[in-house]
Amino acid sequence: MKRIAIALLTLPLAIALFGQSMPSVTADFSQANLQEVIRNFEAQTEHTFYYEPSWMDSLYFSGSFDNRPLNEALTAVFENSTLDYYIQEKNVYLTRDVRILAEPTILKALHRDEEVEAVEFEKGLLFAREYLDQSNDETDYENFVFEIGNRKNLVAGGKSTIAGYIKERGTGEPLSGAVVYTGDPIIATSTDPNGFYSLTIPNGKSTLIVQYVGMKSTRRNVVLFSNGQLNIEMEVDVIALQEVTVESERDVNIQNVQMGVSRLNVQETKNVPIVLGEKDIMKIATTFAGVQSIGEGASGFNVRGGKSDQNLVILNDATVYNASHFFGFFSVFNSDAIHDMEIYKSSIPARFGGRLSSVFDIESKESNRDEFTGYGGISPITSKLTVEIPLFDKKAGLMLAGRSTYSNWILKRVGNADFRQNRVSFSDFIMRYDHDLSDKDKLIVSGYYSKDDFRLSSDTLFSFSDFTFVNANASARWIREINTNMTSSVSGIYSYYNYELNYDESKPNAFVQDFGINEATLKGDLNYYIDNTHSLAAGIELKHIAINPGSKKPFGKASVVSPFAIEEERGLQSSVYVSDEYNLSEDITLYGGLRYSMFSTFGKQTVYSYDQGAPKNNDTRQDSVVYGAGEHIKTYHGPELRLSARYKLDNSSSLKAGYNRTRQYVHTLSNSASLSPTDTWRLSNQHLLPQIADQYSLGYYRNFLGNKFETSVEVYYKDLQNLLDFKVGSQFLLNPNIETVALQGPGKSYGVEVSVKKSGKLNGWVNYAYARTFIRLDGNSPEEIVNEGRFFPSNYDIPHTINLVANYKLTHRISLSYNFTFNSGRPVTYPVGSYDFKGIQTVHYTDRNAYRIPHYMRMDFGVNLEAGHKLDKLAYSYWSFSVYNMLGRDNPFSVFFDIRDGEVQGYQLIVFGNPIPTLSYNFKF
Amino acid sequence: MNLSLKIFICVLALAAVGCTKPFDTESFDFDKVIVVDGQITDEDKFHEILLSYTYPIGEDQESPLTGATVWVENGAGQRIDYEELEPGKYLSTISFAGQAGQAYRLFFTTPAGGEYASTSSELIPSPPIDSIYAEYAVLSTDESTYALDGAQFFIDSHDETQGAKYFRYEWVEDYKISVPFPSFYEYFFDLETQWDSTAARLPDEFVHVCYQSGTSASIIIGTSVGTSENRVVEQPVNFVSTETDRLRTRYALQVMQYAVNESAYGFYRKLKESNESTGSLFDKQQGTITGNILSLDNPTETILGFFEVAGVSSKRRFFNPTDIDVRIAPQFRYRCPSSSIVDSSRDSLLYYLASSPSLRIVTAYTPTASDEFRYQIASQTCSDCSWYATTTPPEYWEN
Repeated sequence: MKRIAIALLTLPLAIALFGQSMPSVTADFSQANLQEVIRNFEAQTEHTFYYEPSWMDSLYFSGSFDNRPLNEALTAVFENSTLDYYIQEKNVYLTRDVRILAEPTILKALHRDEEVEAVEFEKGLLFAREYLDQSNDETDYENFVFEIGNRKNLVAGGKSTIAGYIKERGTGEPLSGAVVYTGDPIIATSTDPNGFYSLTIPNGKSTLIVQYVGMKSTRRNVVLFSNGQLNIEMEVDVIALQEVTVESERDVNIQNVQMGVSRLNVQETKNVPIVLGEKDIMKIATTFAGVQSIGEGASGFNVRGGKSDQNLVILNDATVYNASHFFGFFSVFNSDAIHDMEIYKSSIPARFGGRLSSVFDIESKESNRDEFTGYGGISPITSKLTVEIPLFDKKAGLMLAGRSTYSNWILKRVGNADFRQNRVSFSDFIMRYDHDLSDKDKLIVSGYYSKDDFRLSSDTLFSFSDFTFVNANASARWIREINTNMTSSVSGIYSYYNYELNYDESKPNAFVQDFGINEATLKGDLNYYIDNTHSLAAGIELKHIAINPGSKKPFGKASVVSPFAIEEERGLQSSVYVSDEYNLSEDITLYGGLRYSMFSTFGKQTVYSYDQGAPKNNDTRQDSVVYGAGEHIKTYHGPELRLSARYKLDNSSSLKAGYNRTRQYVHTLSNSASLSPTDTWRLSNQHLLPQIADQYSLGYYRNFLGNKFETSVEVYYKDLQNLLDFKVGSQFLLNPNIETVALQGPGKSYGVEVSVKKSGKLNGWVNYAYARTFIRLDGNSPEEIVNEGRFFPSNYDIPHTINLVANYKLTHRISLSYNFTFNSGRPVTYPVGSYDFKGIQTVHYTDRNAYRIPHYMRMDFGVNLEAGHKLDKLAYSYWSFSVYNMLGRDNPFSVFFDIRDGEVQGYQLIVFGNPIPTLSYNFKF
Repeated sequence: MNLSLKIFICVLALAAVGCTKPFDTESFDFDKVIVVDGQITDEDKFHEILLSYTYPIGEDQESPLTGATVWVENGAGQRIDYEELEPGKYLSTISFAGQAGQAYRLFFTTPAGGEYASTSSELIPSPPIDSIYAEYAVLSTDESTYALDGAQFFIDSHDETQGAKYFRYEWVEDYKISVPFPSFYEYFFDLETQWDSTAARLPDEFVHVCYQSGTSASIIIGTSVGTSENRVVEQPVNFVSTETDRLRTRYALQVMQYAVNESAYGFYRKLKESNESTGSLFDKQQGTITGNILSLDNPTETILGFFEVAGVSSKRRFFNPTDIDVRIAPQFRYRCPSSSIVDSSRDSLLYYLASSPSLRIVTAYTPTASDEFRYQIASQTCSDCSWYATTTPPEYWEN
């Protein structure tokens, strides 16, 4: 393409346009590939055709010519394509989306003035070469003028759609969420997860501006004739690369209809000081307003007062049931293999469903298509390696990433026999394969596997337990660009989580116990960009969930344990959705989405009934109904409405409002504030009602100093139904009748989030969140009533949170970073009396969560030293040094009470009480 | 299955200091409620019911519930009255043994007029304990920041009738103390005359062999549910570390096995988890743990404790530490590196013994007939145990 274009431009202007005798062709084609047609013409006419063969890949022609002039025949052949031709003597140049007009400049100049008047609607469009300061060099993307569409199809004064992919130069990775807009009139859109955008703008000349986090903003001059495609590559911002930058997201917060959405680019995480040398996207997520963690080592997050099982964590569309390695110290995502993560706290798009509070949509990295790349890192706990391999002549790419610990090695060196028996290790692998089947079809296959393996002393006397858990998933997505306005995707997804506990210290009591959940999903999505006022999305999803709630088997020949298993649970969750984003006017954008979800459980299952109005327990159990395999047991269904609206007050501020309903049919059984790896998931059934949340939110967004400062204030109120909690001392493992320990009740959450982001040399963000969350458990009998049936703060009610993340770029090679976190203490239950029972002093508790643990405060500091900051340097490396908890503050994770020497004493569990320095080395080759 | 992570986190953080720290609580609220601690077993005895109130945290004195009227009714409607022997301690007026298969129900009324009753529970006979045995073990315990080694005692039992499935255990230990430098002589000193004298102790005045005992101080439960043939195998009951000298000479462990019903077992499990939930990352939600006692007037009133109806069986076994494991060789509880030899003439015995009453004469002898008496003296901690333990062996003691 490039070669041809240059050749054309250097043609002498004074070529004879007419008077050339035109040869004729005679042929008969039936579904002939265009290349075949051209070869035929070449043979007949002795003309030489110049073209890019790949353009012809999927183009066919049927028809016959009887002694027709070549130009007429070619016009007929290319009629329905974006191709055009230009005949010069015995050469025929084929072009795509470009029409060559070889009119002398002098004529062009003469025509200009008159014609501009006449076709004003075309925005001054007259000739292909509109711009006087245009570049002839198509590699000078920003100054070159791209002609889009086929001039033949130009409709004066009309509008056309320009669509394409936004990718990162070099790696070819699609950029999701990049903003594409034109300045006059302002028409904006953002790219979908595949980097696809579509924008309908007036025909004629325009400038497209593209912005994206961590990338240099870029512009393209276009002349739009008709619908056409323009792929845009963005360059990594060399300066921005080393920083936590929010620069190019500027304006998005004002423009976008969605609110309560945070984007996290993995590059951003590089400089944030980290504990134990593992950069971790999930940990960074907790520095965003509204995303809380109850403490170090706690797995799971609490988003806007939601319980930790109410977050949908998906990696390339596949659900990840346990997002933590080693309890909560590391996330299961090797950040080197992750491209980005989007967190939806409100305005959850209709395409997502299944959890109440939030969606953590994580997309893995797409392989570099241009060259083999590899990078890795070494820290005190883990080492990791990622490679990106281009395949099939850049048509495909394979990304493989692996990470593993060597903590066992460290543990063995700790000179205490106590620890030497322990074992901790984890590893994870991410794979992604992208293949462009054609220029319209793309196939993405991805896989994930992670495994944790521990041998820990357990609380039960005289025992060590082996514990392993495995997260695995795979997905295949076929994305097809049906036309410039419509894309479809079909995916098949499987995900699996399983854990196994092995106790073998006492041979006669040795057992293996397991739990497993797997889901298989089939879904289809359709995005239809009708024009720049409407963009529709619709889809359907079928998900089959199977749970092995737990089984126990004897381990070893000497074991007297008898095998036991709880009946498998099966459910089918099907949903359909449709949504429309409607730009009512330049100032008002509306989003309306409706998701309808339906959940059914199937046998084989034994369902018990209990005395009406009595608490559910073993004494009130009545009959049981046995459902056969595959027999329908219970169905829940309901609409989930998702609405949001944006009103632009001026160029730098906007007001947004949203409402959204979410429904959840799978629940974790957990009696502790943080997720534990032995938690089990169960499906909604006859007794366990689906959890439902309604969120109302309102936000004000304003940017200052040319978008250097982005500020926002968001308020929300959530009304929750059927929140799941449990009776005191409930036993979940191997409990076939969860309904006897479960309590369900309404909840409410509300809060305000204020956040400021700054870009530039000193960049980062600071936010404050006031968040409250309450639950009410008011059952039929004392065992089902908590705190006299009043609303009480839930375990993860953390009213005040302040986060500050700051980066300062000292020189090109050195950058400094700083973190500050403050959380007010979460609720805790204090004892309210002592008594003696069987000679043992015991403490008595009443109201749940009436007190709070002390506040949490932490400062971290980090330095990044680059070996060189040129991206294309062959081997590129950097050192990171960080100190976690610089002040060495004793931050309590939890408070508990113990009786020692006849006195009730409160104790606090401190996870990281000392400053923790970490040095890690990262490299790229 | 509560995996305790405390130690691990410390290692990872490379922090040598402990990870749990005492924490000063401002103040505690106080909720005064009735606590019942009662039991009926199939032993023929005066059965006991303890009634009390909870007392504020930080205060030591127990708060007995006095003046209550207490009785137990069996399934046949027979009533057994109780009388208050000490404040809050009610004893049956007759000695009786609970009958297997019979249901018992506790009733009491408080002086304030409240009426309370337990649910009715049937007495399940307890199968015999098949064996008590010990194994060498290394354990991390609450008392210590590092792992301790010692002997772990287990029991095995099984019930062929399949009647008893849930058990609560208690134990009583007795052990012999034998001092490193037994004091066979007594020293007398007359203040007035300043005369001192020594005399050999008579066997019934020996102070070098003593006995001490201890009882279980935690809730120990076990179940045969989930095992084949209704067996309880390798049920841990007691751990004795070598940090103590209980396993130095001879040790007797008696285990009582109470056969309880499922709801009692569930109650004990919850209480145990609540008492022992100490600072893991996944601490459970704390809350009121109620048992089988209800207020007849006000069903929402919280009554703590449990009225246990249980069959009991017990077994005792003697252990010599070396029989358990050669690694079990505890030091004596006091440091006794050596004793001293003094001459009665040159080193006046008076000088040593009269001035320091914590010395004892181990033995007295004359190296040659012409010599004066020489005395081997040692500190009281190394030669006499009578000041902290009893020299009378328990009735059942076998050497």
